[in-house]
Amino acid sequence: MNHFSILLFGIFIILTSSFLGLISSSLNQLGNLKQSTETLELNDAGDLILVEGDPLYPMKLSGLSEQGHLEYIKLGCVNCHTQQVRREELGKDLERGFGQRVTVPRDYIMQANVLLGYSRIGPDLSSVGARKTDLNWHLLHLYNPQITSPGSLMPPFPFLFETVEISETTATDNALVFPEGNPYSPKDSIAIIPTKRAIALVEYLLNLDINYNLPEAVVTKNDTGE
Amino acid sequence: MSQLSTESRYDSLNAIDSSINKAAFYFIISAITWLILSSLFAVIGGVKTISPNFLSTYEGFTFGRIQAMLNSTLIMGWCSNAIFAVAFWIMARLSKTPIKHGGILLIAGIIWNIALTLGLLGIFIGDATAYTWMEFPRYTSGIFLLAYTLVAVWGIIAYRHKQNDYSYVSQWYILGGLLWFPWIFVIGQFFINWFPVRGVLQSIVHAWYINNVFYLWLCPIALGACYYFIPKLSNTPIRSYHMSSLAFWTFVLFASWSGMTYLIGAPVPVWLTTTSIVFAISLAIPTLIFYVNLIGTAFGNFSQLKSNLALKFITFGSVAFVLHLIIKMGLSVSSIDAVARFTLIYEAHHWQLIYGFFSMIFFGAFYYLVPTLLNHPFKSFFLPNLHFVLSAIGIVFLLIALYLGGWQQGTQYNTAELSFLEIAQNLSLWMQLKLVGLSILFIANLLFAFNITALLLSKLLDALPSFSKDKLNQNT
Repeated sequence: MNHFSILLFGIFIILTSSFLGLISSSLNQLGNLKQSTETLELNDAGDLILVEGDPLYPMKLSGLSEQGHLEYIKLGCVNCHTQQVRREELGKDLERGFGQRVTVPRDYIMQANVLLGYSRIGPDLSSVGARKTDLNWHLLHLYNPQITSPGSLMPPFPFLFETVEISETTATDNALVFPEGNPYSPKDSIAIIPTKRAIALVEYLLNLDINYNLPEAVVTKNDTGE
Repeated sequence: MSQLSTESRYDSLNAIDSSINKAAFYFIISAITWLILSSLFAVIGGVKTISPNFLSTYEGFTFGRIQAMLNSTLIMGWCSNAIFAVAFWIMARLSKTPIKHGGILLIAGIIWNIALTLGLLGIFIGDATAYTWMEFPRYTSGIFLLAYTLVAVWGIIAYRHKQNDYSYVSQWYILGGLLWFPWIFVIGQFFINWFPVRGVLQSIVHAWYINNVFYLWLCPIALGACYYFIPKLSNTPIRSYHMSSLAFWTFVLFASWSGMTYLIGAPVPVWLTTTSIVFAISLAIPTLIFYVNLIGTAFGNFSQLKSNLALKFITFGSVAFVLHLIIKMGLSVSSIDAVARFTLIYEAHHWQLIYGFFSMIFFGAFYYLVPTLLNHPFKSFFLPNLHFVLSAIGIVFLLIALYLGGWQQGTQYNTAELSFLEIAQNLSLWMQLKLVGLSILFIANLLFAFNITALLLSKLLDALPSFSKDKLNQNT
């Protein structure tokens, strides 16, 4: 082999080795994860099997949540929010109540796109649905975060809402309910109506919750930090 | 061994230089345009982190999309176009081969920029993917690949007779980078966008992709430029050049395996992150050699460093790179990671690589390349020097703000008594400093564009007959 062939061979081996070592091997290890019941039972042959009739986790997202998941991606929420809870020795995620247990690979298998995230300008959202259960709170928070969290760095998303004049013919059943005397409330004659996109996004957020057991990850913390 | 010998035959050099002219200028102008655009996005994003209401009524300008547009124009716009401009020229010079069929390169460049424009519009209307640093919508990936295939076809045609002439480490780096990029790109697109793998495997592929785009695409080309320009401009052979091949093989191997440090603490098998941590720490070996090879050589001839503009940029970049690698090793230590994870420190670390290292090297390279290609030197170095000063101040400001702010963010995060909202509010000082840094960089980049454009225009004016001989005589 001449000099050039050795160089080419080296260049090829370097990238191939890291592909095989890091990606192929994890594909091997994680590629076949399936939903599971919260606990497993022993069958006669001595294998651990799913408990028949128990619900399977992680649950599949509903159609509306699925749409919300896409909105989450479209709006780039992943740039400021994570969806992962680390082990105790690596940070105060559990103590802050971001989840009642550490997240494991199986938690993500039902998601079309995994949104682990890389930055926490905003809080972790892996269990936001358990922390904040009020639909109206989420809508207000998206409409203008300053209403629910004064001083927040999160941008408002007014384009996910419609502003309508209240008259006898307009339907304002699902209009946002503002807290009394809030400086960001609209005039009395105006109603803020969430669009389908806002409803889908909030439905997704309300369903973000990892506080279920998996055989390999049991809920340990019961107090929420906030 | 020195690379000075390549400078000997001026006639053939001129032939090489003029052979690449058209394509090179196309890439230079595109690179600068995308640079300006990306630093504009950076400033808009910076304003938004201080005053979240800024431009918030327009969906296309929401923070997440600005960030996506910033990242993707930076990597695929500025960095990649700059690589095409500089890498082929260095390769042509080192292998002493004029670039034939430059037209293919030009077409590749045009297609590349079409993909970029389409991708940017796609992100603006909400088609971005969920994966940072690869946000361009799925439908653009084929166009990028088509453009890159043309580059490869050209490479094969142009270099088919030059196989045995790879004696300089610069050439190894550049050849490596050019061959690695399409593989990295295809693997990333294949497993994430075309046939998505399931669950956190996506995050694993994503971490591998980001890491390799940084360390096996941007870094090798910039290092190739360092090994080419530093001895040339400082008139000194590379110090301990015999170590440079060891640095090459260890750097690319260890860096490529170190990608999973992005996932420390994430829900992935622990052996993955542990493996990458070991490789990240091993980067100490090439880091030490880079220090001796690059910084040692550049500071070895201090008078040259003080007077040569391009060398100043390239030395600044080399120092930023060695520090970047030291910080990378530090960040893989788990007690440091426990503070730094998810904070602004990682943003700082990326800026340090892309701006402090890569961009500074390429600013230097452009300041050498453009006058050489035009055969038309700068009349005054005042504005180019000002560009250096502004860039250096801007990047130092930005890095200090983000590293210190990030450290504060991390320590406060681990103080559970402080509410999450308070931590975010306590960042405001650092966010303001960050904006100052980004604004200085924006102005510096405008100045860069002005300097290069002014040189081009003055060459064009000189070429006009009405400016006659005496003006031409001054320049030669």
